[in-house]
Amino acid sequence: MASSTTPPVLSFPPQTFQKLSPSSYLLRHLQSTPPIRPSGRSPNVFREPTIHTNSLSHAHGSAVVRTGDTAVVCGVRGEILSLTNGEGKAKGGVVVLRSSEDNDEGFVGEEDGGEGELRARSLIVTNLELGTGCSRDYHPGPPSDFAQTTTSRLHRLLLSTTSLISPESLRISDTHATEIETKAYWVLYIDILCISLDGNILDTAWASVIAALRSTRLPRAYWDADLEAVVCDPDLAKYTGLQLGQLAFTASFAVISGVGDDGKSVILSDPDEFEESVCEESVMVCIKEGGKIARIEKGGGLACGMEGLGECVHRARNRFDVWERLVKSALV
Amino acid sequence: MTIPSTASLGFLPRSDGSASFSQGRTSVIASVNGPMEVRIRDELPQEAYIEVIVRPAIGVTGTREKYLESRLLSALKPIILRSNHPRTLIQIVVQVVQSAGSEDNAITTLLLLAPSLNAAVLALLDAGVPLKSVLSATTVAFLKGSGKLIVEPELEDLKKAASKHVLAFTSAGLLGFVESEGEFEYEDFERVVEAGRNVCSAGREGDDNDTKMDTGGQGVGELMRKVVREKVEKDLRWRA
Repeated sequence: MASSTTPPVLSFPPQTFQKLSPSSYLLRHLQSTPPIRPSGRSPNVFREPTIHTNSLSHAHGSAVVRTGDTAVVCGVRGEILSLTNGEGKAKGGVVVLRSSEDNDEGFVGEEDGGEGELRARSLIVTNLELGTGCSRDYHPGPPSDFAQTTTSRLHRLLLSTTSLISPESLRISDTHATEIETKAYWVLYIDILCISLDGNILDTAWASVIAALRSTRLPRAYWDADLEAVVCDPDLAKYTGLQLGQLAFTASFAVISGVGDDGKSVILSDPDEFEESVCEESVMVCIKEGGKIARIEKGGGLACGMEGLGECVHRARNRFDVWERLVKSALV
Repeated sequence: MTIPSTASLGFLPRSDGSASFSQGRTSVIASVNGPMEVRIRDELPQEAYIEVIVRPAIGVTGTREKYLESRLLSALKPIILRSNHPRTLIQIVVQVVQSAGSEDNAITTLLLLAPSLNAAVLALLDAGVPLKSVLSATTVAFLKGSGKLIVEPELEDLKKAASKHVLAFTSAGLLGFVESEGEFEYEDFERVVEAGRNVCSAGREGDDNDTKMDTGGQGVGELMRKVVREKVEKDLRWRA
């Protein structure tokens, strides 16, 4: 054919460009006017989340949250931790304490928001698991460092940053005795499974934890003095929800520098997996009800200064409103 | 009564670089080895692989240590010129010698961050790993009500604080790392960052003696600068 004689032009589809040189692929997108990300979003646009609650019938509370292609399931199950061991006269045998310094007097000071009590008795157990094949980087085997770190971040958010769950709501007391005595605790097992991972797991996982905790309904448990045991009421109408503190939501950002000729940096809200792999610098802001900041984390680079953090806080406050509306409409 | 921070360099003979740093009742040792052979799985074709290992004072590594490792890595990775040593491993080990409290809670973990970061940076300097800049870190507590700031607070101060901040700055005053927790407004945060920057920045070349006298005590940045200068002077004695 005549056309076959023309010299071949070196050209390849965008997907090849993305694989060959991921960082310049992202930079070229952001250099266009208006700046646009490979996913089609503007730098300050988050992905739209969806929430479904109580889809797991065997958990006391559950939620499925999805933002873009990141989807997680969170289940909350309550189990009873008895402080008394054995039946009858053998009660008061074993008390579960984690640290030698923690004793019952130590709990009276509520200045740490009950964190000491929750921690010492491990009343809240969080675990995040990456589902098989949830992302390209998934390797079978024991929990990766990434999963462990995320679990730890969620645990910290839950216990120390937000004090969402107060220990009083988990205590099961002997109400008939003259002096109210805690006989047992509810232990909340919060298990999060990531079905699909496309970046920014923390925001999605945290929202799923909040939604699942808000949907949690525990049976009425009481101390039966005759049986000397904790008894649960099977009556579904008597199941009660948890008393939760102020809502708080996180917003994560990735920062990429060197976009303009002057080395200007761009903050990308809610980065997806590709953007996370290219951008090293990241910022996380957690906002509480009323617009107060509960947590700021920044690391991985020097490009984002104070103005950048101010912008992140502003975007995080807007994001808080979106999550709040969604969670409140999902749980009427 | 505050305990002054101390630091020392190059005392472990078998590692490429080592440093210790203690702040208040928290004390850590860091050692750096590298660039050295990397596991095939971790090898990066264009840059060095950085590994941070945190060992607790008591017990075995748990999720808390994993968390510290990831935070330290995020602070240290950008300041190391990784592309100078492609396909190698730079390993940073942080051993906690003493932590401020025995409880395994968020505050003691927070108090470990700044000393670990400082020790790791000093050990990197001692090992001669090429760095873009030097980070120094500090902890700042923002008190309830009065709005008073305490730089390098004790455990008891932190328990009473409305918010706690761990900040790291480069010697030029760029914000490199933040970990803030509590309940605060952005304006408060700006004040905290300013206070942290004053402590962490080590006066630039040229204004060594004059301008920094007004900071009163010795800041972290200057302490680190002093320790490194003494070490270099000692090592270069033979030339005098």
